[in-house]
Amino acid sequence: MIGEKSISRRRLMGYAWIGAALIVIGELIVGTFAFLWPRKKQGKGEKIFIAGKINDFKVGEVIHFRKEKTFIQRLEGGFLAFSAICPHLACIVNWNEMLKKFECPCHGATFNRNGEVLEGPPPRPLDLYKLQIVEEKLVVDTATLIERKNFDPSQIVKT
Amino acid sequence: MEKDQEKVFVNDPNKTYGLMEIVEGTSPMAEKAPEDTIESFPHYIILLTICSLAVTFVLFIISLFLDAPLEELANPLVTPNPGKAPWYFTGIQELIHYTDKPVIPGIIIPLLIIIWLFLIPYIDRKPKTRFTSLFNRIFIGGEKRRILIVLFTSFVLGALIFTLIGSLFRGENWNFILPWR
Amino acid sequence: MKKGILQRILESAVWRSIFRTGIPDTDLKRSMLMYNNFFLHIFPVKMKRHGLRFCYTFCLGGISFLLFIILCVTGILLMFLYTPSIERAYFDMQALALIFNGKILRNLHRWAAHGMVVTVFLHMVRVFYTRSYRPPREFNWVIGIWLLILTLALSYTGYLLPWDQLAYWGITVGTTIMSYTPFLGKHIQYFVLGADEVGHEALLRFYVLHCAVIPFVALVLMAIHFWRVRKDGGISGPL
Ligand code: HEM
Ligand code: FES
Repeated sequence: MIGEKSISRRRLMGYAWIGAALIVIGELIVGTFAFLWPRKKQGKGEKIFIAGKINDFKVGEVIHFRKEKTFIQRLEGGFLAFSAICPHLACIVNWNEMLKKFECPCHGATFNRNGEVLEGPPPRPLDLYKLQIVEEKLVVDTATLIERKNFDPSQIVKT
Repeated sequence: MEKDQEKVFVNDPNKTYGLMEIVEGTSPMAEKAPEDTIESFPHYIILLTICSLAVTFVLFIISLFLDAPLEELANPLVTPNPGKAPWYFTGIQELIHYTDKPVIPGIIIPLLIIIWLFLIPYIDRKPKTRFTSLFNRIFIGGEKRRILIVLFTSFVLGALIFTLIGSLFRGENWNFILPWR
Repeated sequence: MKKGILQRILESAVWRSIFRTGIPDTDLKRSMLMYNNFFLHIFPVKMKRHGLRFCYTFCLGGISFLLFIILCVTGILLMFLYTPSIERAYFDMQALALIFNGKILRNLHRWAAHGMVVTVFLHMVRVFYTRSYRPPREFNWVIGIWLLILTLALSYTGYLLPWDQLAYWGITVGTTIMSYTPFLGKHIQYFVLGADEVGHEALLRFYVLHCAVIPFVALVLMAIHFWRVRKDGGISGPL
């Protein structure tokens, strides 16, 4: 033999068997995972909804669209569309009209009217949905989520 | 087995031994070690039967008088207030409400605890080298394993306390309440 | 003397073909009774007197196993009446209350599940304080921790099945926590739920896990657990 170290034929065959076994086992595991991997679903129904006309909303009012999991608020200069899904662990927040803040039932977070965290564990303010004003109507796109670090007046959609 | 018996009963070379008495018994006592065994039947079987019957009985009584809860139909649009995890996870939920990083109490702490539990029998061993004896002093605390007992006890008590707070002392919006009020 | 009816049965050919040992009036027969019986032969013929002390084991491992058996029996009965679909699951649960013994069946299953979480945890605590995990029992402790994890997984997957508010939000919050796992979080959540949010796919997945996969794995591990208790020399001795 020329090489300094050589392996016997028996050893080589042994390694080959082990390698083959590992490949088969790996294939089975990967195959099972691939089999169980969720199929992509068709989007359920409409992702875009029309919230109403501009003049349906009063300044300072927060309206809960339950089915769409959206809050729409009219401010001085325009509109904000919040996602009602808590940015912490996905519970649905409620608007407290008395105290003028959003409250989450799961871990006690509260948010001010701009969606910023007042107290509690959420890592960021309430997410916004993309909002457009088309022919005096509010069109909310719940497929486009806007995550943000804090509130900024530029987020308001002008009327 | 032979060796064990020798340890228990060492022949003294200065003495002589002889058969002194025949003891009455119900079976030959081959390999009877000093640890004092006993027939499984009936001693153990009786214990087993009583214990099983008692547990089943208690469970039946509880099930007769306490109904498993069934709340309203699941509704993705409304979160019940308070929204609680099953009681064995309310401890984690309680921890989660303290921090804005749910990874720490939700993933990292449980994972570390489980890994630590897995390792307990492998770190609580007789130290052989200098390194392991240092290791032992830090994580186990000597032959009496004082540190390990303190750690484990605080784990059990911590789990108990946070679970109790989370499941009994938390009401609407996860505010602190007293359950007897 | 005339033979009593009981004795006639005990001595009949049919009885003796099933239970080979006769009346266990000698130690030999008592031993035979243990190892000739399929269910009893997992126990040793003789036990250490010490291992039988209630205050050493508090029977917690045994009670956990008994609760597991009760859960299997009641769970299989519940499967006859339950449909894993979001249209029907909740109403099946409601209808259960109208069926003869349906309610108590559900109660038994629910309380036994809660009880098992408690007893398995306490069993671990007792094994720790008696230091029974020391060699040669290290590996049995490891199997035990897996059993604890599986017990929690069983309870958690079962929690979704009634499809009520508690179930829905418990699972929503729990799987959102998973999604915070570094790097893989969103994928783990997606895989566990089978979709982006808790819905029909999640219910079906949890149903299969709860009724087939986890109980099966747990049963295999329990078999190894019990076998190891004996192979490691029975219940551990006093400290
Ligand atoms: C489904 C859950 C479990 C079942 C059904 C179970 C069952 C049992 C049974 C019947 C015994 C005999 C002694 C006794 O009853 O205490 C035992 C012993 C033992 N178990 Fe478990 N067990 C479970 C979970 C665990 C867990 C969570 C641990 C620890 C992490 C554990 C570790 C041990 C050890 C080390 C022994 C030997 C104890 C000794 O020799 O004193 N088991 N188990
Ligand atoms: S889910 Fe809203 S505070 Fe945790």
